[in-house]
Amino acid sequence: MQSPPPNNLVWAILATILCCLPLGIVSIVYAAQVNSKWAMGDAAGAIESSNKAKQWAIWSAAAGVIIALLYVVFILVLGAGLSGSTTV
Amino acid sequence: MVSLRLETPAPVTGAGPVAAATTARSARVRRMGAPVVVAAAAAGVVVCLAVRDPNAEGAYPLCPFRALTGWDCPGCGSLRGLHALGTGRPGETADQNLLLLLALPFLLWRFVAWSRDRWRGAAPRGAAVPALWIWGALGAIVVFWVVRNLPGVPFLGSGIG
Repeated sequence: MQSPPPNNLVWAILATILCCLPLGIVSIVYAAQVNSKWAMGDAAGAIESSNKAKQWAIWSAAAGVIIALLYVVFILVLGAGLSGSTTV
Repeated sequence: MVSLRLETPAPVTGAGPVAAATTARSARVRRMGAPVVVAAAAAGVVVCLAVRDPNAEGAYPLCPFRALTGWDCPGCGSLRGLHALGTGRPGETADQNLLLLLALPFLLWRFVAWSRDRWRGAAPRGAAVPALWIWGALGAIVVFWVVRNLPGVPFLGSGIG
């Protein structure tokens, strides 16, 4: 018996617990679907869910990085604004 | 029929046993690059969190879900929890994010299994856990998410206590 396609559960868990964006939850749903569909003999469906699990984990990570960058920019702008106002 | 790339590449034949062994060894070194990078990245995160304490206000960006809603997401407390773990206080880790402490053995298991597969040149495999376990984990995460935000519930929230 072949093994199921990668369910990308590790990335889903990492996205949920370490990336502080609940998008990772969606990724876990697809990860669970991979093993469910595989157990039912639906290989094509399992591969589709495998790809979706990966996509959502990537989106979650990307959103986390973008928000972190925006935060840094925001702090820099705010910091510049504050220092400007104190000198006035 | 969808084909799953399960076959490992056939070893180069006709080059003599010594050359074949050398090729196999250099292929193994190449395969182990990714696990080494992941291990180094994980170590880098732990060192970074030990050096720059996430308990300090503004040391890291606040979780966007928490910033928007004021509620803990399932991952809130994980940076402070990793900092506590990296500095030898696993009890604090459990207090700040219990899920993190429960997830780490799973992540470690997958890392070891993945590294072993790459060492042997086996095709990447999904975790052969029953689907029911993953649905159970999903349910546990959602319940954790809700319960840790209920007023008066001790310990599960991302703060101390």
